[in-house]
Amino acid sequence: MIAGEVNLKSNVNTGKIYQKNPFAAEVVKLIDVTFSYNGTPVLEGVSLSVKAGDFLALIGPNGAAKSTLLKLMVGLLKPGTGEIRLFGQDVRRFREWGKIGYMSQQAAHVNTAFPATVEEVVSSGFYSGFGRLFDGKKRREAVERAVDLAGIAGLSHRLIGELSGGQRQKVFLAKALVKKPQVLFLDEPTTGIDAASQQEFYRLLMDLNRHEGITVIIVTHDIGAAFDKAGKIGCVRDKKVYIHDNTDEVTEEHIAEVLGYRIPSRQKIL
Amino acid sequence: MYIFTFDFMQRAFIAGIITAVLVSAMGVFVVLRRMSLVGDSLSHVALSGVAAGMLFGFYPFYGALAFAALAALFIEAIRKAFSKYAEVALAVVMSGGMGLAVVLISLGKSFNADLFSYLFGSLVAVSPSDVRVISTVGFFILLSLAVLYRELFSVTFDEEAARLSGIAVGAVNTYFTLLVALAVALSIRVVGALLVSALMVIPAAVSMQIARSFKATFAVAVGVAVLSVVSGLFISFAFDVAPGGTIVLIAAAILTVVLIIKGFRGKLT
Ligand SMILES: Nc1ncnc2c1ncn2[C@@H]1O[C@H](COP(=O)(O)OP(=O)(O)OP(=O)(O)O)[C@@H](O)[C@H]1O
Ligand SMILES: [Mg+2]
Repeated sequence: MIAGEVNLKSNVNTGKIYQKNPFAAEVVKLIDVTFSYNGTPVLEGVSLSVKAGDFLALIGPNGAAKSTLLKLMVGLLKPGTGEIRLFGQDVRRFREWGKIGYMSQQAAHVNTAFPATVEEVVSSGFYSGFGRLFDGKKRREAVERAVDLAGIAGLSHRLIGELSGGQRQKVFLAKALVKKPQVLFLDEPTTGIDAASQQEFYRLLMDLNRHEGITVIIVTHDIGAAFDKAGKIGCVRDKKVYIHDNTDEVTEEHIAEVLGYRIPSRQKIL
Repeated sequence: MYIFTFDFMQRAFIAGIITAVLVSAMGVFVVLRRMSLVGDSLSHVALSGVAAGMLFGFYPFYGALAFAALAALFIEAIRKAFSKYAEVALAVVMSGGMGLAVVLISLGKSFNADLFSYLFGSLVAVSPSDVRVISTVGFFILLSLAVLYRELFSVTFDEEAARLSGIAVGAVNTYFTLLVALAVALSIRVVGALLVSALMVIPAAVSMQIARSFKATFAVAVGVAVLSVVSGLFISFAFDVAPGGTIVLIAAAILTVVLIIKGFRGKLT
């Protein structure tokens, strides 16, 4: 081990939340999935399963297809071959939109000049089909709860263009939370956020996972946090996804080998 | 007031105010979708509809509505091919519409006062049947906007997220462009084909400078548009100039004043 780096294995016991429950329902399942952009494959023969209550962190170098994987899971992209199931249904036929919350990698970076308040943005995440014209009270309550959960209750009437990057990230988390989803798909939600806010953000996710039973699938480059907080680690590399069911069994060397790069120390990251 | 003793002025005010509300409300979404050119493109096509009506002898307003609606569908179809450069689709339709209008006009040798009124707007030309069409179609457009408000907000703000909340994004986009086409076609009567797009974009630009929420953005845009149309019509009547021009000049003046005040505030604070 290189001096200055810590053994991640010895740190994983703090605040770890993953409990293996073999009877938990499958939230996401990929069976032999292949995906190509304009004929260039970026994922090949990927199979994996995420169960209710899981906290899965997807890590891997830039361009490894982490975002692609997440978009496939929610049905924004269609697999070339193979099968993707969301809550047991073929994702192409999945219509229970209230069950899934998704925050894209670009979410907080686009539309910063949009003239809408935090409340209006969060409220737009609450969608109830034809009942929407008469759902005022339910909607207001859901929005209040979501901004509370995300810790931005005080910002409700501010324009989103006048928030800091980190505050805006939380707005998008609240927007994903407002429909009370059973699973959250988050694509690098903490990029550009200061260390303290990142800690807070992860604490919030762990709370949601532990106390509200929300399944969390998060893409991150913050390997330290992934090891610290997630119960499952998915390494995306060379068109494959390697899932490690229990971080106790995963060593730093192993991850480094799978990802093809060395892991900086946790102290440096956090 | 004495100017309302003229029937044609009453009609001009009714048609003008409905037009202002419609076009400016659509304008907020249009500007936020970076489709500011859409008004221009569709109004040029609407003009060719007017020319077709004059040439073939049907009510030019129906020609404008039909041609603009078809152009909207065409824009949506080719927008997919140029998804990252939506303005290419708009530029194609704009020049196509103008070309068609010019050909139809020269075929019909109809470059006369009537056509001129559709280019720059007119006070005296608003007929009772024009008012009927404007208020019927206008009511339908406003109703659609009210019902689809949430969908339009979601799709405009974040298309991916909208798709994941079960919104039929493609259908909403197409329907919206269709509504814009109808609104634009309606407004060429009072404002004129060449100036519709200004009434669509300027009030939205003003409101984005000062509004503190999305709802307020709408309210301010509609307010600015109605104010511009009403005062523009008064001035047009008093000095006997085309209303389209006075309306747009007033809207532009409001924008300038707002920008100057904002500039001063920025310097002071
Ligand atoms: N729309 C697209 N068209 C063509 N190729 C694409 C497209 N989007 C992504 N790619 C390619 O697919 C691969 C995977 O991209 P993806 O965005 O999934 O990577 P990522 O793991 O999320 O990377 P990052 O860590 O930088 O976010 C990359 O090589 C990228 O160049
Ligand atoms: Mg990515």
